[in-house]
Amino acid sequence: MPGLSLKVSLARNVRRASILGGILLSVFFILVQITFAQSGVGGGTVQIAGIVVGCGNGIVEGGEECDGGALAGATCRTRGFTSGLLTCTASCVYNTTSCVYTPPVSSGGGGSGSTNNTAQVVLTGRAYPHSQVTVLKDAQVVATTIADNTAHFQVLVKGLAAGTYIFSLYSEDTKGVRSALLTFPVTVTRGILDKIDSIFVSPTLTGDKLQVKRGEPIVLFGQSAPIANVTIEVNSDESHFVKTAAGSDGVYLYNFDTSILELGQHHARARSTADAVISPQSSAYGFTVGTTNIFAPASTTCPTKGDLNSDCRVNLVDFSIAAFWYQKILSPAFIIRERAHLNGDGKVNIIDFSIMAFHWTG
Amino acid sequence: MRTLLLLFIVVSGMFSAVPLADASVISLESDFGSLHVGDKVTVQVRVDTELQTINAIESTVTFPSDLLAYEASDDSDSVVSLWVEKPQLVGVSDLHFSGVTPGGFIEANAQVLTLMFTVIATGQAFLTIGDTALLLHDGSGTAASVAKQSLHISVINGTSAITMQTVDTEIPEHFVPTVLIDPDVFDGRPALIFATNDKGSGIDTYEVREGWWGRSITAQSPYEIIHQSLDTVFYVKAIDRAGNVRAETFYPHNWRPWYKAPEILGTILVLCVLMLGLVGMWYRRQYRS
Repeated sequence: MPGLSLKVSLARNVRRASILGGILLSVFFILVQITFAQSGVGGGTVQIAGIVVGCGNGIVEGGEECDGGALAGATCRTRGFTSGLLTCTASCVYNTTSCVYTPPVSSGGGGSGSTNNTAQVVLTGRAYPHSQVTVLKDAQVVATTIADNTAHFQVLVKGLAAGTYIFSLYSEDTKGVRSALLTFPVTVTRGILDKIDSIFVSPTLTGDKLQVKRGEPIVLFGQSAPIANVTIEVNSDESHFVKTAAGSDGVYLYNFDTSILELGQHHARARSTADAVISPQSSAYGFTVGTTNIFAPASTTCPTKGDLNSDCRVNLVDFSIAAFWYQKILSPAFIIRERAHLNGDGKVNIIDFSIMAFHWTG
Repeated sequence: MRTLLLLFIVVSGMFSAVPLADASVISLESDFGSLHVGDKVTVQVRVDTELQTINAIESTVTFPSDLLAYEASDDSDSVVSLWVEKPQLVGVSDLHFSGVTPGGFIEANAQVLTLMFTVIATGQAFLTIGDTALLLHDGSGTAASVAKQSLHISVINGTSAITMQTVDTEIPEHFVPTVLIDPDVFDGRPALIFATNDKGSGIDTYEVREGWWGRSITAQSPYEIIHQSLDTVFYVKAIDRAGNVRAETFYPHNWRPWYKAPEILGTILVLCVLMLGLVGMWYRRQYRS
């Protein structure tokens, strides 16, 4: 029976080949797993250099929405706009400046229109001509845009679940000085387009001197909407109000005579009016009236407080660093940072977080 | 009548407060009108800023632990954006919490928290507010004047009729975990930071898993990374109180897909060659026999 013998031999060989193949494949996969695991553990001394979040390398990585031309598949449409060109900012967040949003025709009812099954919020208003406007949702940046030459901007935030959100917004003037952070608590409903309109970003305000010799002028300047009327309040024993007008580029300037001020520390704040809309007050600019002049350094775009990692932003990273030390005994190294960036009392408590919340950039 | 009065259950609300002029008010409120043992009761912590801009809150709520059992807290509609300390029990009857709102808020009836309790015994339950700081949005963390309004709840014998059911099918919001390397945090060892919100029932917990083969562990931000070489993918889950999960994946700086890792590719190639050699040897042996 040679045929039967051949079949038996073939079947035996196939069985052996299967067993051997199975063993080899198992060994192979175990070795691959070990290799993967080892590559993850990386025992011994680890050298880590450079910036973890590689913004600017053209690759979208953790913490980045985009990087250069890499937009991670996003378009103006996926960001909630109806058309336009989506780009990426130098800080690796989407730039929706060239995106256009045409709101759906509202069926009326107090500024809300019907949308799809998620909630959406449109924020419109005025900042400064060609200024970047940053929108935060619950303290995290959700959108940036650039105001047009009349300082108008419009931002759509979509895909929201029903609930209460804290939207906040700030802008930066031509010198990189940030406006005060404006907040808008909004309760949104599924399927409804909520509108926050007539936002008027507070003007920026800074000065040319940290200390001014009494009787000499201090130059107070900043930016607001074009042709806005700017009222500057200087606090002394009594408050002094002066008015000036912004130019077509929104820039304003006022030479304030300090002879009417007492010696000591003073604060100035500004408020704008345009088309019968009044802005909130600017952040305070502090200066001293003394016996000599001390000129202010070139304006810095970095927050003066709260920026624990010195990246010119106050955000979740700084919050996390502070949270790590919350109610702990500070290390000598961190005491120096706490003194420089927080309130300098040698501990991290809720006061330091309040300072951080004031300077928050997201 | 006396019996009826005794049986009448009062959630009286404010009993201690005569608000100071211009002081911000922190209050405890409850909508429940009649309570029995076994009932679930919610207590809202609210703030009236009295036209001042407040950006930070730190407070303690004290409750009678012999009458009420603390169940959970809900921050889904909170005016607080970032919690420094989520509500947590200190001892048996104090709930401590603190958080901030970047930019601050001005509201007459701002919701801070909803606290949930189960009634465990009859009696007069007084919920009070302990040390509290409401800080002004002035860049210095100046403390605002604070008035406190406590809550009185009467509980009598009877059958429990109140149940609470949280209907939340929404997953927590999208978030982006980030690596933090700071010389003063974990001695410069890499840490993972993350935060998100849930508008349905609030975030309950976070879980982190390092690598495909890793084990999910409950974590808090900042989380000290075990795989310090930062070449392992991280999976971070945010889980709300209703059990809905948002999972985010973070690819650190040194992570590469396996087909771009020379050492892995090399290992696979060597193994393939080895396997082919072994199979060849086996076939040759079979052929000879």
